[in-house]
Amino acid sequence: MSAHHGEVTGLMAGEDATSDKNANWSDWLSGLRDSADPLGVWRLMERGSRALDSAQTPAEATRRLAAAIDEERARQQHGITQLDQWLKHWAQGLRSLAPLLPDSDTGDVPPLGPFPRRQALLQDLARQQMAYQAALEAHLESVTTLAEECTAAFREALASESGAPVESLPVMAPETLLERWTSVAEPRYEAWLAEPATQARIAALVNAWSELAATLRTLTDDGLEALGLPSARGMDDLAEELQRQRRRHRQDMAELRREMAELRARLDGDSSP
Amino acid sequence: MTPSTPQFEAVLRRAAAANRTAQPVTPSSVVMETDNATLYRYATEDTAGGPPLLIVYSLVNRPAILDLSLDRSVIRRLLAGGLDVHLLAWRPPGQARRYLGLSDYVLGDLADASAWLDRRHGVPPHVLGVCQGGVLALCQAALADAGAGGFGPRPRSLTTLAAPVDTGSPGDQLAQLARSVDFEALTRATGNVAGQALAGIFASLKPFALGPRRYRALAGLAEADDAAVDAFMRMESWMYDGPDLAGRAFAEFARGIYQDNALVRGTLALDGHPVDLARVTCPVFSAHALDDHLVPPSAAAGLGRHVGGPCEELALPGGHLGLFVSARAHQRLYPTLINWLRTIP
Repeated sequence: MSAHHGEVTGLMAGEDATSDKNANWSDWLSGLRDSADPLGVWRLMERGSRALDSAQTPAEATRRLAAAIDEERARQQHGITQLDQWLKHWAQGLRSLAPLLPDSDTGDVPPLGPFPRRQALLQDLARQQMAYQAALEAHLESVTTLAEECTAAFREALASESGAPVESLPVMAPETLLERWTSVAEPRYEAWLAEPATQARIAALVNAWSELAATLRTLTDDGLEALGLPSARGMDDLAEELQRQRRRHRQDMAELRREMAELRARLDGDSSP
Repeated sequence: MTPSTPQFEAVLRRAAAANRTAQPVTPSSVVMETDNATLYRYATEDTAGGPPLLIVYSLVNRPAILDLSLDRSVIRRLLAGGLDVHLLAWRPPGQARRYLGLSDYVLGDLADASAWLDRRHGVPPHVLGVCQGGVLALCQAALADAGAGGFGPRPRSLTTLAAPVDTGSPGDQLAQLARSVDFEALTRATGNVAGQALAGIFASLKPFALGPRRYRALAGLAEADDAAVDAFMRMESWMYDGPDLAGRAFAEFARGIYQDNALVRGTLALDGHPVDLARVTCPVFSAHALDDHLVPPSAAAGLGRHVGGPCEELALPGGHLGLFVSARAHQRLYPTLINWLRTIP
């Protein structure tokens, strides 16, 4: 977010934006991108907007859209590969932090010896990493495939509206192209989102991430606790205990209120004629 | 106008300078604090003797949407109807409160606020639950008798606005997306659920409407006055400034309401007490929007089939937010609701 945010701030601060590549609409939209893009949809939309914003003709728009999708696919692939790299760095960092704990580089060592839980966790981590990568890849592939289908439909729609090949269509305003693209892509996107297969892929992605993140947390907590440092797990225990106490207090208060209400009702009954 | 024109850049500069704080426009004062919420009173001198109304907002997003502008303020509309308006505004939980559950909110905060108003006014309040707040209010109303005073009084009446009650329909997009997600595992990993992540999910349901279309509307404000740009930015701020949600309550709600459809099936329990909608015997008013993609009509309509008391229903054209900020809602829904409330003994 920060890099994009910087671009937006610069633009808003009054730079000569018209001649700058940051000045266009899609770059501004991209400033909104941040980690809160759980379905990877906004990034694709940014690229699509950028492609349309810089196109002069329908033919150029469809070419640029196709290229934008390819770029996004490549970026996603790179991101998936990077995850593997990032996890290796993370494991190295953890090992440096807590060298007392034995680690294995591979997940295919059975849980033998005095640290079976840790070995099992490392095996889980390797399995979960693969599962997450596979789920992420399946989801992102599905998103980009949808975008390609939308681009093909966009091309067809432009051609059928004018009755001429897209390549021969004259210059169109970027906002018109964007409007046409939206009207073609939006219903297809909504239909895609409503497909049980899409929903299953999204659920698989969330579940795979949850498992992986939980194991990463556990391994980090193990390392911190081995050094006698506070861990997230320890804070969780405190939070849960506090909530248990608050709940008990609330239930006691509710019981007291109920008894008071009963007593009041009994008193009212005794005093009635 | 294309977005990269100088006019659009000028709008952007004005938007950057706009007052984007989604603060309420109607003055209020804090009248009490519960464990996880603050009770605000909006009453004016004119409404001081009016019947108390307790608004229960959703745990998702902030209640500022009810009072974003002078001419489209739900709060002002209700005040003008002679009601002594109170709002139960949830305080966002820190990580130390990640284990807050639905029972804590319903049988704790909501019951406490309701009981406080009952003591203060000598009558139980009318309760108005907004979206998820409607579900929380239904739960409290259903359990009021079971608590025999311990879970707060039975409401004088109960109004729900776009409350997701029956999520069993295949057209319920959120329910369908939630169907196979392991929410316990998710919240074990995340602790609380980030409001920003949730806003990202909601935005991903309608990325075209909330992306290119919406920002083209901003571009269209090139000739508009500052008030219009301010209004746009206040709404923008509200949409993406949702509070974090307590992990446990989030998981309980997602599993209970969206996966198990437990409110309608009668399988929801809070602190071991079954929530039976048939035990909601007070008069009920339920409104929903016909084009709501977050709480579709199938989820919000038909509450009368489940509750034990009389139920009035009203459906309005428009989307989810239209129930709170559209001219139609302010011309039709709130006058109807206020008239209905006046009929409640």
